[in-house]
Amino acid sequence: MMDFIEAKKTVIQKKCKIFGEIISNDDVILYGEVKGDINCENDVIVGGVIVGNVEANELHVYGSKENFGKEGSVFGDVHINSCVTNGKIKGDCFIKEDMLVGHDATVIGEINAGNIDIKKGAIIRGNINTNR
Amino acid sequence: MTGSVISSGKVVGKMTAANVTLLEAKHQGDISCSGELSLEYESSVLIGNVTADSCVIKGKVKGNIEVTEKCSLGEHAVVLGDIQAGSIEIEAGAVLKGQLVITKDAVIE
Repeated sequence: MMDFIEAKKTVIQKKCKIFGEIISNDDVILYGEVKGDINCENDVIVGGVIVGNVEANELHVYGSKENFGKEGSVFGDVHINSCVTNGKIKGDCFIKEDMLVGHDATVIGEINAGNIDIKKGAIIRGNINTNR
Repeated sequence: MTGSVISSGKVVGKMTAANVTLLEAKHQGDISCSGELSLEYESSVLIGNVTADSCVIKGKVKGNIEVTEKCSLGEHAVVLGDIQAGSIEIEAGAVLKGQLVITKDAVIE
């Protein structure tokens, strides 16, 4: 517990549900469920479910292999600097730099990013644009 | 426009980028790029029209290809659709079903 406080990370554990907006300066690690927007100046790591828009520096959505069988999912638009996803994103992605769509990822929605790398096995339904 | 897309996945949708590389990808939708499009492997599949500066095709394309500069088809390439290009290179073994229009200015006297 102290480790998290020292590292200035916000951890939302499994079976914890939050209804409302989250505004944070430091990393948010989410294994639970959030219904509401997330506005974070640092990284957001998702092993749970977000229903809402995400604004952050870096977004990492876990796949089921990385997260003990449960994939992370984001239902909402995503405005971030860079993104690594192995989970599910349903919504439009606006990414300033690079996006990595991993082996187990599913993206349903538009992708706007600097460079996009789509790995084998990934599924994308939506238009893809590079914006620089 | 800069920014590249490297794809090995399954994509349904339009794609706009500077350079596009399809590795073992299956892409369904039009691709427009300001640079080069390349289908690197025999197993790369593209269903949709292409507009690009140049393209290297070693995989399968179903759709029309419109290229301002060079279009090259590898020996395992399969293209079902028309090709309009500045110049073209076709290796022996490539399959092409469609019209071929090479648009470099020519003068017939």
